[in-house]
Amino acid sequence: MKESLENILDRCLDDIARGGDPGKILAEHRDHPEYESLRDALHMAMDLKDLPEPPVSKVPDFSIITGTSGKETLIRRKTIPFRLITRIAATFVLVFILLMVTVQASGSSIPGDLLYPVKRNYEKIRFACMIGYRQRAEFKMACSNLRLEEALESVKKGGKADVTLFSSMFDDTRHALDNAFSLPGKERDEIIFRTAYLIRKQKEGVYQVYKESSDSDKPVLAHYLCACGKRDELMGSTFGIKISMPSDESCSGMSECCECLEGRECSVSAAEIAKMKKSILPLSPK
Amino acid sequence: MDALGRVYEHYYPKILKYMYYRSNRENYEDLAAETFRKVVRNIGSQEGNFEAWLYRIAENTVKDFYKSKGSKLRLEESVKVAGNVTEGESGLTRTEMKMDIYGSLDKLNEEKRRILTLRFIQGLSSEEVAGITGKTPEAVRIMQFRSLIELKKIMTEEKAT
Repeated sequence: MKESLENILDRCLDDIARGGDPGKILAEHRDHPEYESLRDALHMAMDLKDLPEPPVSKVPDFSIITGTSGKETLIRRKTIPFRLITRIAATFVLVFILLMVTVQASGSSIPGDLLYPVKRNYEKIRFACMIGYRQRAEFKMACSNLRLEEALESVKKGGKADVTLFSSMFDDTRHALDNAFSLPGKERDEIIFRTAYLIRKQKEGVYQVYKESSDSDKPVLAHYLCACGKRDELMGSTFGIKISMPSDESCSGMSECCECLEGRECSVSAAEIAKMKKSILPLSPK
Repeated sequence: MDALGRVYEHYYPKILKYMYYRSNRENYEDLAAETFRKVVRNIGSQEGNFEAWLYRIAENTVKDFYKSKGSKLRLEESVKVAGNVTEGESGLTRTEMKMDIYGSLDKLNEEKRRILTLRFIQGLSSEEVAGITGKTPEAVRIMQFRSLIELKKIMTEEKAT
């Protein structure tokens, strides 16, 4: 039976592996009808055997394999490509810059502006990051003042007075007082005094908005003006602080509550006043 | 040094070479080390021919590596062979000739590459390769012959282009 070409090749390879001369071994099969295939396969096999050893950086110690050595990690940690790190860092920097620019630009925005929500949310984030009572109280006073300025700016630009700004203004003042009560004596008194001044200023500011607003808006604004008056009164009766302002002389309605204001009746209920007495709480229209 | 340590010393260069020609030439040291970690973990369950078992673990490690990469890695990507550069008869340098073989070897299918790597690069006999791959020695001989002819054909075609 004729030996297959595959077996002849295998035999030739074994002979060569034992040290035989490849030329002589191949010559023995010169008469084979598929001699050329045999020759090509044999040459190819020898070329493969002749491939170089791989470069070895370092043979790891066996103790690392078994996990008995803590000095080295066998499998090298996959390092994050430098380019990827650069890209991530650049993205972060870009996002941060964009964020800062947006926040900066939102600083002068008023309700209705595209960036106004950014301004308010940034305030919330800043407040959440604050730790000290004094820092928080001062920040809330600043926010309260800002709401009043925004309301005045809105009216000045011919827009409608946004009463939610007054609610926020009251809320911020209340938070300022809450934080002030947690401070030691002298610091507490200072913040309370400054809050009293702020409340008095707010009363004047709301009155200004009231004067410049349309007749249809006046009933709602009158309510907030009354609330301002009551808050001012409460600050006086609770803490004994009475702030006088030049406008007191020009407008009789500013010295006390606004009950006498253009013949309107005060819309702040007795229940709300009682609630205010417990704490300086924000008021909402009935 | 214990018996396993001696086994490691003996087989590490072989497995390293196997990994070099079976993987993408960049992770072969990691893959060889990973193979021996698996050996240490599973030595208790080892039965039969140790060498065949070791090469099966090595092959599974390569497959797992490819799987984790999502697709087959082409060897040409990382063919950067350092070595003595001497002028051959054909005018091609020795390194260039080797690079031809590397590239062509990669164009064979997985099974053929595995047979050629075990048989010629690792220097195992047809019977040993049969024991590792689970084929008969006759099937290994047939496949090695076909693989070599195919490899030669690929190289000839590549030279022509």
